Amino acid sequence: MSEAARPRLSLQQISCAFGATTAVDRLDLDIAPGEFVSLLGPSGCGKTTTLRMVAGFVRPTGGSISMDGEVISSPAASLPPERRRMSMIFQSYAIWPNMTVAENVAFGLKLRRMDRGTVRRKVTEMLQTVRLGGLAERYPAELSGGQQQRVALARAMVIQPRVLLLDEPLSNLDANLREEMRFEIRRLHDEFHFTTVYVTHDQGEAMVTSDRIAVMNHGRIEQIDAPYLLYTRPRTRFVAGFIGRTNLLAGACAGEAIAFDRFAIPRAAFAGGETLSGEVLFSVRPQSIGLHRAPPAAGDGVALVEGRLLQRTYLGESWDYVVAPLDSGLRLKVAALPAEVFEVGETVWLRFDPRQMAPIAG
Amino acid sequence: MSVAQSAPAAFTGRPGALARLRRLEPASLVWLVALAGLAALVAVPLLRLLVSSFQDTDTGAFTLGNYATAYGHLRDVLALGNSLLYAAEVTLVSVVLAVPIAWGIARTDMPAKGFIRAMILGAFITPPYLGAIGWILLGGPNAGWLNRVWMALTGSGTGFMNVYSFGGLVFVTALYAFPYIFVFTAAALELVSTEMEEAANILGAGGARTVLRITLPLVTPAIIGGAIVVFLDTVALFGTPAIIALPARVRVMTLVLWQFFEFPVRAEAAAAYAVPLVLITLALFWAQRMVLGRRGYVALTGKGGSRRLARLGPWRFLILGYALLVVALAVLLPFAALGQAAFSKAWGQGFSWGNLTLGNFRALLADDNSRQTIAHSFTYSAASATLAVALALIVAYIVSRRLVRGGAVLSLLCMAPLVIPGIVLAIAFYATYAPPPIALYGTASILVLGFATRFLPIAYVNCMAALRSLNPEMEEAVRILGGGRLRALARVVVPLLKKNLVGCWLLVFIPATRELSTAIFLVGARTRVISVMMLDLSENGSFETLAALGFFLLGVTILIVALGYRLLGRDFMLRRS
Amino acid sequence: MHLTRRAVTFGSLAMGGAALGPRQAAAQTGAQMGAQTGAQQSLYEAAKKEGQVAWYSGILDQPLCDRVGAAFTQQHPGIRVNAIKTTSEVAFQRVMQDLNGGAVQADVFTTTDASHMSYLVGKGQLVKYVPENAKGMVPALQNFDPQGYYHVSWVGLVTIVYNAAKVKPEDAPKDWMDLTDPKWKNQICFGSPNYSGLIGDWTVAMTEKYKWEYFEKLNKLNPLIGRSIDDAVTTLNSGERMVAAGNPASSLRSAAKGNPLAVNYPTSFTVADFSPSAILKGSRSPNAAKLFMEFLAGPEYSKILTDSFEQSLRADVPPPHGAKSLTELTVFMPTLANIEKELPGCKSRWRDTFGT
Repeated sequence: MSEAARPRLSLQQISCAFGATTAVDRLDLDIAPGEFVSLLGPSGCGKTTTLRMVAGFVRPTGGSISMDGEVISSPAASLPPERRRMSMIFQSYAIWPNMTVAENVAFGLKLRRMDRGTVRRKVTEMLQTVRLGGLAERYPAELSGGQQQRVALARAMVIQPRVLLLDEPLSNLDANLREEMRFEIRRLHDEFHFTTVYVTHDQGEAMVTSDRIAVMNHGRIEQIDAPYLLYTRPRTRFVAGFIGRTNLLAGACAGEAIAFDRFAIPRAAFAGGETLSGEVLFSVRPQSIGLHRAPPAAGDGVALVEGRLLQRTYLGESWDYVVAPLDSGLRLKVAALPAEVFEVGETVWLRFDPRQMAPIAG
Repeated sequence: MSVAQSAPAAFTGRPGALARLRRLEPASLVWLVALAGLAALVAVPLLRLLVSSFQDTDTGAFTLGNYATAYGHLRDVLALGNSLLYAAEVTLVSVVLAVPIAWGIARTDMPAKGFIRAMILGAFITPPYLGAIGWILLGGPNAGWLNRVWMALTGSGTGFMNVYSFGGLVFVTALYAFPYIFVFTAAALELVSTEMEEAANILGAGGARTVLRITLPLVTPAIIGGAIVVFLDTVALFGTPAIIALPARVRVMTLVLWQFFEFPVRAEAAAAYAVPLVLITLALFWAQRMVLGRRGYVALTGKGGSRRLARLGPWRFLILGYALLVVALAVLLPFAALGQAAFSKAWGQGFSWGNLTLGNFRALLADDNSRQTIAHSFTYSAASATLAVALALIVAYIVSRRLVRGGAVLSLLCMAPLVIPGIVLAIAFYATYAPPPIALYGTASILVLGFATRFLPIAYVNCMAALRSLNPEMEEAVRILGGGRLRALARVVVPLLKKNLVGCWLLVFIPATRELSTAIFLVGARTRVISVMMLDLSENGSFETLAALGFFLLGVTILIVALGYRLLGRDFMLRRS
Repeated sequence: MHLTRRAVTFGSLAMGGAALGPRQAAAQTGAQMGAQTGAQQSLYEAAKKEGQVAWYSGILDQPLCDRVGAAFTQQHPGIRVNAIKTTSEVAFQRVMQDLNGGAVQADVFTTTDASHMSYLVGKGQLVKYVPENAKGMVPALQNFDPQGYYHVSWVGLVTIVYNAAKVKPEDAPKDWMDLTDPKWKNQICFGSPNYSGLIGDWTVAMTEKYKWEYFEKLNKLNPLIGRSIDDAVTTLNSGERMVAAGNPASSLRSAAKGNPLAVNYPTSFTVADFSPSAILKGSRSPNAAKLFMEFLAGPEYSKILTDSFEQSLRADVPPPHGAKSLTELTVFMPTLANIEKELPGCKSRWRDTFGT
């Protein structure tokens, strides 16, 4: 394996069980140097346990974790956290209230036996970077929540960790601050390019910050992809439902076409459509279904279905409609621009574009 | 139990090499030393106690006879029941005395905090014997000061209180036991972030409601910890019952125990009587788990929690009034009564100018022997307190961070010594450490180790409560940045829990200075301590000198407290104003 | 003499010493202090090599024990005394532990409970030694142990004590039965046989003389029951109670400071208890131990006792100020055998009567 291609962090078949409950179940994940990966999932999906195994606080009950090719965690032994040269930002920030801001940030540097001048310089620089320049001598009790968060970031980054771990770092902030800090975290990553693992249950945070997102459920990774692909090409029903809103359409392969309730689309119109077989479920985002008063021009495998508008909700930036295809039990969510006004009870035409329909595993 | 914490020195790509590369971290070595210390100090003497409870006094053969002797009489079993009732009531009264004052001092702008704090520790350092005598002088049915005042005011022929009663026994014991709960609770309250209270306020809860529903529940582990110590200590208490329960005709367990040491001596039966008391400790653990459940009590979260003192306005005088009442009952009134003896040539003569003297103090401090004895007590107690706190902190850390299996066993070991009456524990201790090969006979070490063992439970409960109030992420932050567990302890845990630990140290130091039953068995010709000296003074009728010694101890405590809190420095939890 | 179940009148038994006036006795003491017999001289030579003697004391208090030690060292330079004063129960328990542990720490052991000694004799753990100085002791105290293992080092007495500020001498109880007068309702105090050996002796003595009824009468007067016999001093001084069965030594000591305590030796008899000393077998300083036993039987020791209001053991050392000498008193002392036989029953009846 060449040096460049070798992942910084490699989780192989990693498992962790607490008694009868399996928190993490044979999970595989490779993270490249400098990459920002989020572990996203509902609470209890095993994302925090995975992070704590990477940090060394929890020993896996199966599989192994390697960093730069060296095994650092296995059921037999686990390199203690203090020897992993990582750093971590905790949900509670865990900044030490008995030390000033500067002392907090300098802590890791002093452990690395840097001389006093270097420590002071690095601390000052880092505090400037996180915009806490004037607060070095304050105690944490004298800072606001956002400022405390920045102290935690500074303390973690100043040591140039091989891997930076973040455990739901924004969950304790109010909405506006959270919005601001996501961009701040991404900005800092763009500046320093630390290999980063970020645990969150908020897809917005993951989307803004990450190079790749691993969506976790029941201790396993359901799908790992760039944010765009994850949204447009969800591969499992769980991912499709967890990332944004979606409609699920059941289709059946019949010769060269795939038959849906009330309409059919040629296989060839789907990317990779020739590999599909049997019953297939498709995810169609509300905003990728077209809504028309009259049948629009068809083409390129596009399918048109007549339906009746059942409900509508105005959201300011868009309309939310619910449409039922004629003679079908389906209820489809359709999003439309504010100008596209329809009345409840109107007969409408739905336009399905196969390029925006993602086949997902059962 | 095995040390599960192990870590490879270096890792290679081959997992097979992992097992071979295991080796002891320096931290693991510290854990091992602590566990060995615990085994030596507690497990070995306890085991010896258990074995001797099954041995025949003369032949040493196996027998169950000691248990029959100990528990064969309904009267003696009832005495044990009385002891439990007594301890339960003392615990309850102590909570009522301690918690409001702890809240007033830690969370409000109540005035005269330093004075109240010093007085409470003064109550604590007052030997139960002396406090009980003080209360006999105040509440004796015939001649008690308070009763005489009452009779003078109301014209009634009888007083309004009789200290020689079960209620009197409970009340007087609680007055000198409540500082345990006070110190625990005040330290914990100082770690509760104001945000917790503000969150309740914002939801519409008033001040009192917030205190009762949020602030106090958050420190429940500390209150319960203190309550457990008070309970166990009271079960094993001899001094106060000897002075008050006996005349009140109330039989408690420690008084029954004494008869086993009268001839024909049946120390083995005493051991048999004491062994089941360990079950009480177990029961308390179970109760603690029931009460605390799985609710979280994390107070110091690492979100830079800050604390503002509640402004009570005129109400602050109400809480001050309550605190003053309690310290008056515990210290001011009894010491006023004792003062009559301490400053008299002959205290039985009552007040008169001619009877006033400082001679008792002069005699006390001029005598080489008594000066040495006082110095011994303070140095041994300080050494014991330091040892007990260090050991308790490490073991509590091991247990709370689950570094080894069998944490429950370690907890029980740490808690057992308190409930076993001092004399019984001391015999087992003496048997283990006095003879060769260890041969600590007559040394200061055997006293220091004995005191440390006896009061280890206090330190342990306190350290457990303190560690529970600390979010583990605070240590994890140290470790992920490259510091080991020992550094996390030294740089974060200990500084954050500084006040708890100083309180904890005092909670061992003070009872060690007044501990008699262990001391009397372990003391040597050149290691005499204050408690043994007090016994002498009380038995030869030198009550004037005894009272003077009590005053001296009170003065020294106030000094220690003043000094201690000055050294503790800036309170990082208080916001800059 | 042999101890029997009968009252002992010390005066009738005291011969030589009692016949001497105090002045002559003092002169004789001075003469003895200077001289030591040849046997003691050779003991001293052997003891000097041992250099120290360890004394477990269940009697007196630590400062007094230290004074005894210092006086001994002054008389026998080069031999230090390590005195450890605890309660007799603890001292005995320590002796037992030391024996079990195979390391005898004490050379000389003194206890208020003579049963400890008969137990140790039975176990063969004592050294037989009769001090030469014992010849000068009050005759009644000689031959306490006919076998010669242990010897009296302290005499405890139980008398009537009262608060002289509240009770006029003419109103004070003169004899034991006077305490049962209803006028003392709520005004009596005494210790408990369950916690005090001296009170145990008193209980056995009263039962023998007046039957158990005596205590039932006392109980009707609601006495205050303490633990130790010395609790009487505190209780009377505080004014909580006016009359007591108490120890004259601690009462007189307190009275000497000016406290309003007075002692009445009951007209019928005073109850006494002898506290013996013995040498433990296998101790490190057997010669120094013998020399120390000589000292405890000698006049200097009794002088230290009387300085602190304790009873003198010797006819040639006069009693403390305000106290009566053993030779002047009618003393009743239940025998050891009698105590061992009667005391457990008395303790049990005590619990039934007084509930404590």
